[in-house]
Amino acid sequence: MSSIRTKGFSIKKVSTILGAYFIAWFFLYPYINMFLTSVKSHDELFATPATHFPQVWQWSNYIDVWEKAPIAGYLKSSLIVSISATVLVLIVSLPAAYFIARYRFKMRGAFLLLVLATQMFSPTALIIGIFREVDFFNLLDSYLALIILNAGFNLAFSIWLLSGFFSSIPVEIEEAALIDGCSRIQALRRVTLPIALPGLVTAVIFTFVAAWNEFTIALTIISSVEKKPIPVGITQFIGQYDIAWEYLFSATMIAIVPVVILFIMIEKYLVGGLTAGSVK
Amino acid sequence: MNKLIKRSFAALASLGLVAGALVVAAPAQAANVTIKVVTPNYTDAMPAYYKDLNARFMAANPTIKVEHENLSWDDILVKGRTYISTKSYPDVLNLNTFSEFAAEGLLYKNSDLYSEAKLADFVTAFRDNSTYNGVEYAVPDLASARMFFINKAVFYGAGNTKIPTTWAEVTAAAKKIKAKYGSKVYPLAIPLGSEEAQAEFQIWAGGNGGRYFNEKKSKWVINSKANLQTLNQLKAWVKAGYTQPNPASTNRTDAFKLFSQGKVAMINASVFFPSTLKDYKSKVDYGVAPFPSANSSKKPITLGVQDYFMAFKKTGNQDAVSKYLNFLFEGKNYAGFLKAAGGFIPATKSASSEVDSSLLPFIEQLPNAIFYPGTLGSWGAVTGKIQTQIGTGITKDAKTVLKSLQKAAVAAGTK
Amino acid sequence: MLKKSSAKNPKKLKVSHNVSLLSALPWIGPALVLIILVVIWPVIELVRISFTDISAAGSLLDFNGLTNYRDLFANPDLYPVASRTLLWVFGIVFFTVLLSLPLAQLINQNFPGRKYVRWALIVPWAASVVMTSMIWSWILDAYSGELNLTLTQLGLISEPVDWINNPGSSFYVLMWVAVFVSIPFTTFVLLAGLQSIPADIVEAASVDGASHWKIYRQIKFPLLRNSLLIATIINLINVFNSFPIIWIMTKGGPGYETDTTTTFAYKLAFIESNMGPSTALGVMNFIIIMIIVAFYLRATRATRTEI
Repeated sequence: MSSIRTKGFSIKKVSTILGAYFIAWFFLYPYINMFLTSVKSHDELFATPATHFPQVWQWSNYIDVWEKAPIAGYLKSSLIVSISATVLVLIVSLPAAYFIARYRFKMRGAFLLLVLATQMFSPTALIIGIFREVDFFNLLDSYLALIILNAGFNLAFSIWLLSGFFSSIPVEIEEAALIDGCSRIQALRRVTLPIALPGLVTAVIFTFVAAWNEFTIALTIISSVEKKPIPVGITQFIGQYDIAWEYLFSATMIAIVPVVILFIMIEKYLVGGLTAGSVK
Repeated sequence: MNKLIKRSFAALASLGLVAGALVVAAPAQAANVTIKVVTPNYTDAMPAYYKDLNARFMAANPTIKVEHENLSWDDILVKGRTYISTKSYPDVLNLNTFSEFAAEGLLYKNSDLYSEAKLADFVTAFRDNSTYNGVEYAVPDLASARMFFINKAVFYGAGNTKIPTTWAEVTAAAKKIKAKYGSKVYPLAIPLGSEEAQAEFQIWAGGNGGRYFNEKKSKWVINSKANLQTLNQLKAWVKAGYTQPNPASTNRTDAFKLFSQGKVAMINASVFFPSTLKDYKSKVDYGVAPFPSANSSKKPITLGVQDYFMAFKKTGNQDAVSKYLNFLFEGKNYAGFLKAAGGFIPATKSASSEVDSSLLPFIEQLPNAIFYPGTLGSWGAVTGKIQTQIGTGITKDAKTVLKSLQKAAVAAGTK
Repeated sequence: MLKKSSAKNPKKLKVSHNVSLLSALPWIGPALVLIILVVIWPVIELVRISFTDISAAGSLLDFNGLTNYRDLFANPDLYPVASRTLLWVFGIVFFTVLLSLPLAQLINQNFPGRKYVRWALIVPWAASVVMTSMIWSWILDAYSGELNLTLTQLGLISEPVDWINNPGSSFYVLMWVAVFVSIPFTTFVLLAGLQSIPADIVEAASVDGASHWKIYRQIKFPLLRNSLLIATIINLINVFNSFPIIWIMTKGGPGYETDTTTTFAYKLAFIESNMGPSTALGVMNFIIIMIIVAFYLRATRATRTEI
């Protein structure tokens, strides 16, 4: 009995591994295809029959694309906006998340409901209102507006995640630090925040990636080339009658790779970060 | 607690600092007037063209600063509407409609911006299409006309000898092509996807005397008998298997690609198609002919389509936009514009004299051109509806579809 | 979603449990300001515009009461779009969760290379939905796409199949892409839930001789309910609001045959210059998603511990 079980177990194990690898390939597949397309020549894209792999690996697409469009400038804009929005989200959501995790106050429920409600609006539906407001503050075509808007639309997730984290940290730990003579802030900084690190890292990456990929708002309020973030900038490869897929995709690869690496770097924290958020 | 409150205020303050520091300071204002120029991305050569043009313009006019925004066609329709509805009008706009803005009194008249000599240089037919209530509010920037393209090898290889001039001949030719090549080639491409469905339908309907709008009676005629016959004819070709699958979802760009790959034998295509084929490095040897009409009693037509430059009225910008537009339409600058836009028919007489020889057959067709009712303020709304809906007439009841379009057009008005 | 374990806290703590709103303001104030500025203001604008007459060019004219709403509901095209939206939302969320549950179970197991499998699963999450939709439309392209190329080479099809545009497959292809982009987040939330299940409970059960399936169904699954709830709510909202997939792949066409209320509202405003009814639909959309979420919260109240 036990030998059969061992054998069954190992077959099961092998099939698990093979299945898992297949699934990994499956989720990567579109991006592999994107990469292969990005190193084809324009006429090979429409060749008949189509090709799996480039017949000529046109690596020069990755050099030319920087000249065809100001990719460096787009990346700079994306970085400025994404980093600032992330910082802003942290500064705003940390105290709010901590407070609602630790205190009860009047209107707490209303506040939480408001936070949830902000999740329910997509920028696409609100775009006219957003534009009028930004215009009202005279902030059209400014990074500042883009930063604030990106922060606002990503705030809810961060508050939810972080407060889940703070409530999972026993108050007694902070308490002990206070008894040891730490000030409240010191206790927060030295004790609570380090424990909440996975949540923090997760919130940071979430906001960063969301801001990095944001399209509708940036398209609407940014108009000068030098301020366009990369998702908007690369639309210049979409002509009226022809899409330069090879440049569109090589520019996209340039935009995706750093974010994927960033995400992968925090994979360890990610699961822990989501755990606290989803359990509490 | 006090400390904490202080700390959070400090955090708030530093938030402002961070955000502020990251915003790149605007360059010192040297110019007296700033004009915003919004243009569509005809090809990916447009940004470079405007960069050079604007730099030279600003060097020549140090008191004028040009802010330029180049948008893909999808995006400009959306953003253009956003600008208008929020009253943050651009100063100069290049678009495929102007009349809805003229209808609201937002635009300068041409006589406010150009000398009569300058205006006289624009091709008269295009100029006539730039009027609202008899007053010119925009200038044409370029135009296209359409003709019938065939893949010579496939077309003649199937035993056809003469390019069709009537619908019956199209049917006969398609039948031969299908018999010879089976599923390898679609005899006829009918792209009724939302990208350009209004054009595809109009050019077929035009050959049957069908229009969207009756100018003389000043009323919408989308559900006319001629239009219904046309839609039913297109439907018959689809049903017979002479066309690519899913015409209502096939965009013009997709159909062009199929032709360039040798998978389509006959197609309605625009003046820039030869240069598109060149871009695709297509090996197809093509022939060009006037567009077939319904029968020999009907006059063959072409569909003329033009885009426009317009300027929005704002205090203090009249001189600047006038200078800018006149600068753009100067000989060399305008030639550069046409080159960047890629293979269109020039809108000025002076530029027409030195066009590429491949454009000549199209220009010859212009006397037979019919145009959209683009001078109606409601055309923008109606055309959008036609684009998304007319293709559904292939699978649904044609009469019902035309009727509902007619109803929407009547509701949009004839102003 | 946020619950603190106040009952467990010893009374001697120097934290007060019921503080005034005023003392809460320094903490939650900045978040409140940001939410009001970024979300509430445009929402109020949207509602205001929905009661206003708007010209063809888009200029705002006068207050016109419920006219925009009346026009919206008089539009016969709305109703098929609305019922398709239900299929879109519930279909996608259902299949996302259905596929994510075993997937989370899989990447929770120990096997060589698990790290890389998890990394691969992260990629669609990190990439923008806009770009993922574009690459899918390229892969599924009837004539140049790799899917048809492969199927042809395998001899499974003899003529190119137009997956994106065939009326039979069009909407399901769009739904598939939406499931594809929703799975990674959902799987990771469920994985997080699985990892929070104390190992000793599972061990005790397997010592008692319970089968894997039984352990999963009777022990793990009930403990996953909170994660499942979170994942479902976030997916419901995201999928309902999802715009780029449909817009990039079919523009909701032909006609309105692949539109959801979200793309339909956009099409009304920006393609058909029908801004008034579009803003009315924008308001309706918000009300509908609120109802769905409230309904879901209510329906799951019995089974969830806290939220």
